[in-house]
Amino acid sequence: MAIEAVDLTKVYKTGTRANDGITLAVRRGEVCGLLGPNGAGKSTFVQQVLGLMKPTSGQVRIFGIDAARKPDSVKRLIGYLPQTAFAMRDLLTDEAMYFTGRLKGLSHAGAIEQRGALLRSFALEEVSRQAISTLSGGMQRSVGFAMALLGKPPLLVLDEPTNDLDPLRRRAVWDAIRSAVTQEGAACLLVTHNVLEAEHVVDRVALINAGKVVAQGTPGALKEHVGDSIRLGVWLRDGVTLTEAQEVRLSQLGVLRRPRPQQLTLLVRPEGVGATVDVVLREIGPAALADFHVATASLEDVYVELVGRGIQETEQSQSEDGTLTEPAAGSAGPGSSELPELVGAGVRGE
Amino acid sequence: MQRFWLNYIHLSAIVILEFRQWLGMLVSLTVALNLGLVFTFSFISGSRDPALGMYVVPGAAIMSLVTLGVSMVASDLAQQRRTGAIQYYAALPISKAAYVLAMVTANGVAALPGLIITVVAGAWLYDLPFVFNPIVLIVIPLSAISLAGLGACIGLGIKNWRVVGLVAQLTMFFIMFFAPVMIPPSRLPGILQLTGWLLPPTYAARAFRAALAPGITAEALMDIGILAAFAIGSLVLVSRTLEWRLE
Repeated sequence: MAIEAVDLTKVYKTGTRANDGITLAVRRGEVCGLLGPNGAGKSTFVQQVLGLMKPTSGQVRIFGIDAARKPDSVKRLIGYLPQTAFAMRDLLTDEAMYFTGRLKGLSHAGAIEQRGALLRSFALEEVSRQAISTLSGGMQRSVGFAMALLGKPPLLVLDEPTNDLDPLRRRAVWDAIRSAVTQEGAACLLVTHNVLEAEHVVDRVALINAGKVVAQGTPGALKEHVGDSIRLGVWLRDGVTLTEAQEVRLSQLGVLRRPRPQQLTLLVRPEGVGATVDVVLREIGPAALADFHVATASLEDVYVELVGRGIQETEQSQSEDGTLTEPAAGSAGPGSSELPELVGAGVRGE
Repeated sequence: MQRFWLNYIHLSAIVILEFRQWLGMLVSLTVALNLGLVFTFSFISGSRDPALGMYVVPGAAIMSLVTLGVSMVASDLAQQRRTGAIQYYAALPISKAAYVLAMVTANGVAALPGLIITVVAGAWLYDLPFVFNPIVLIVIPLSAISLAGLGACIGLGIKNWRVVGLVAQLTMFFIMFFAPVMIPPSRLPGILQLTGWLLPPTYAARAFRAALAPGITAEALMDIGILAAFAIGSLVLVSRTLEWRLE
């Protein structure tokens, strides 16, 4: 097992409970996506995996080594890409890669060899003699990712690896992760907000919210949380707006979301698709539609359903009595028999 | 142990290479500041008396180490904490002590040109009969370590990076004008003579002064011993203060 967290809890000195009994396993040869909203406890979990933070209780083992007790041993096994700045930004790209390799224990020849291969893989040869700080955000991200791969660590911990990357570089990153996992048997803990993209790369997903794992499993298994729901995506033409009354009527059909002013999605039961399409066309009118499609539910729908509901209920609990409480047991998505109760509260932005 | 020294060499190279693009400016500013001090003291006193020069010139030379050791190390560490760069190093399998020692070494190396130019120019201005004394090879690294240790304590001990800059500037100002570094102790009020003995720059200036004269006196050896204690103490303290863990 690459990562084995058991009942991991972290309470800061301020009393903030960042992790609350996280139990999670990541195996060799798999990519595990760690998804969750800001402040969910993802970064705290990552710090504990890296051996940079002691848990208040519970344990996290990296390839069987207790990360809190033997952080130095654990660091040798991990390639880490932080979400924000990394060091050595005033060094030339090839220097930073060489020294990172050396600090990870590679020999002089090994560091040069791996650096050359990674510079080629990520099309960084042209900028190899430029200071990292002078590169574009996307290039810097690519360099950081390449630095994480140096030394071919058996565990990759990547925090938003495709932020700022163009589609080609993004694909190169996903390919490299897939290659490290399938060909070299590495494990990867992938922290991301990009749920749609992650769906194509991850083998398993852990959804974390308010310091707890609210769901984990394969993307397919998680989609069962929203049952066999169907997603209707609607894009409005520029200048077209919905009235409040129209939004209320549409929200009565299923879980309505408004990711952007000109976009809305409706998650509905399969048997209601035909009727919903009719209502949508009648309410909005074909002339106001820029695009319209019907698809099965995505991992993003699961995320919004599980995490979004948690946020909403937490906010409700906070507003009612001023204290944080657990989300109500038994609340369910559109795939469950309790669908009508959820639908009325389904209107929200992202 | 071999891994420690490899870490130390690579980390020192990293910090020195990071200085590269600023090195010219860094050296120019340090030299300008130190020569300014050497000449200003001459103008204020209206004298180029070698006895005055024996205080002013080694003191100004030590200010090179103070500028880079105290001020730069303090602000570097504060910035690294602020940007998260220190966390990146913390996630690498490297020795914390090697990291601290590398920062000290790099700042000491960067201070050398300013230090040498100040001594040469000061010797010319005050007509000082400086000689090369081998103990200077011990005094400079010990001074660099103890002064950088002072900077690291400021950089790591104060949470707010803006306050770190302010405190580092105040420390430099204090060392320059209120410590027996460039000013003979007898000219300072009693309380400042007392506080002076608690600061490593006092011993650095005394030892450097002795290193620019022939022979090795017992007093010089004692100063070097105290400087070594400061250097080791600050390295140990900083290694412990530098929080590799995040809480």
